Amino acid sequence: MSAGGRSRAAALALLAGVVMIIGAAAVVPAGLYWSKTGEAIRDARTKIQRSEQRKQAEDTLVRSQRDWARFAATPSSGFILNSDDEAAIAATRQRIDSVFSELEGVAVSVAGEAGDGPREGVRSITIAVQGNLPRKNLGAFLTRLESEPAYIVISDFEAITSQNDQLLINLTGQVFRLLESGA
Amino acid sequence: MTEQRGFFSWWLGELREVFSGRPVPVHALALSSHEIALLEKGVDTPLGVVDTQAEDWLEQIEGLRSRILSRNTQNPLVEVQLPTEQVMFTKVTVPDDEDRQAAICSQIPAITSQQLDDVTIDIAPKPDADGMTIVAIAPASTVAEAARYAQEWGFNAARITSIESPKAFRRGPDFEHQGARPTGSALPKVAAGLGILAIVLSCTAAARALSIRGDLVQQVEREASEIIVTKDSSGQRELALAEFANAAATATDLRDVSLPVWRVLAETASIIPGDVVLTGFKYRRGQLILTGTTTSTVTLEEALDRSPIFNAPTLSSTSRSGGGRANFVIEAAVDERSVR
Repeated sequence: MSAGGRSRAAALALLAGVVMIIGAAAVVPAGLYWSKTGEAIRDARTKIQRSEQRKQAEDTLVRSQRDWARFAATPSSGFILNSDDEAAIAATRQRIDSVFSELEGVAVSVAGEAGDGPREGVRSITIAVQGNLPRKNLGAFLTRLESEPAYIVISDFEAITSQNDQLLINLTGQVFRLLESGA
Repeated sequence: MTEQRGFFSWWLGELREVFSGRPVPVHALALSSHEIALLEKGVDTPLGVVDTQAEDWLEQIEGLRSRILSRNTQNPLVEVQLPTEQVMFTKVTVPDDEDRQAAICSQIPAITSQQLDDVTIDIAPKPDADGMTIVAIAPASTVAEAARYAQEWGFNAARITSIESPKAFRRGPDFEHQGARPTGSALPKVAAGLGILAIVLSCTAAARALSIRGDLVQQVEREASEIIVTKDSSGQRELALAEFANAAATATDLRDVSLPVWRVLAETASIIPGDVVLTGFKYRRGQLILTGTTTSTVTLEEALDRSPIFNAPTLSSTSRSGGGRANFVIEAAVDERSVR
């Protein structure tokens, strides 16, 4: 610096420049270290986050499995809750006899046959029913079969007046049994 | 090399002046028996030399003064350097158990053959390698004259020293004189102290932040390393669950999408005219067949046609019955979508 350019402001500016250079010499390595550690932190956190997400997904899966298994084991699922086809047919027969009896009717015949269901993992029990029932109880009879579990999906139904306000009932329907409990 | 020394002398002098709060001379007046030289401190080549034997030496001194006056309207601050022959340097021994200043002052009369009041002394801050203390001695009258001359020539003598001095005096001896430079303000020192404090605190904070960052890295990396990565079978399990859920919803789904017979029966009971006597009710998926007697099959047909469930009612057979009534067999399509 020439003698003509020497002033107090120049001396202070020079000092500021020196301080800034020294500061930069300290800040740059610190910044590089900060950046490098930041990448390491980000990578580690990503790994942790993925692990937590996987665990949450597994927890959700387990909860869903448990909920579905619980639902399938309750009457509200609409299935007949028996472990095999024969027991399901017997239970259905008993239920229909019971409904007829409660509604002042008589079940003449109740036949059941097991077969493949409409979906995988589901068995279908096809039942054919004949019986006599008072005309006044026809609505209640159908409601009991179709709206209370285990639901019977009636595909064919015929009611013919016989005598003394009695109806001859013929129906064919299906009740479903779940093969696996899902537990 | 000379330029570098001059540069650093100027720069450090300016900074010292700023931060000490006291003016520090950047220039020096070197006095000798026949010459007066104006120097820039740290530079060997003088800015100008005045021969005191010349007739216009006072004008020449004013010329020198004007060269450094441009930066400051006040009298330029200078260091007055006494000629070598006017300053004596001597080494004295100071006993460890005595006051340093007093011990040296007591030796001055013996060294100089003058009274202490007649001389001005400056003591080197530290003893030399031999344990001897160097003392600079100048006549008090010479120091006073030098200060007075500088004042008369338009300079402000910040300090009075000698042209040459031992290394023990880093900036040369400093002889006290009348009109010594004033004590500076404390504000620049306070500002400098606060600035240094701010820098130290900033550095401490930065170091702390980096340290915490380092700890954080170690912590998250340790946590990440503790994660055991297992084979992800969730896809298969989700598929199995979906299949099971699909199966488990079969009964409720079919019930929801099937038109129950009780509803067909209820709809039939609600729409048929009051004179109709049903003797048969047959429902096969998608088709309803009613048998019975009525006074008007047309009315029955119209009633079925108005229902949102039944479509296209058709009389498949009809025959006369007693009492103005007719036997009928009527069929109608059942719209199972109406259940949804």
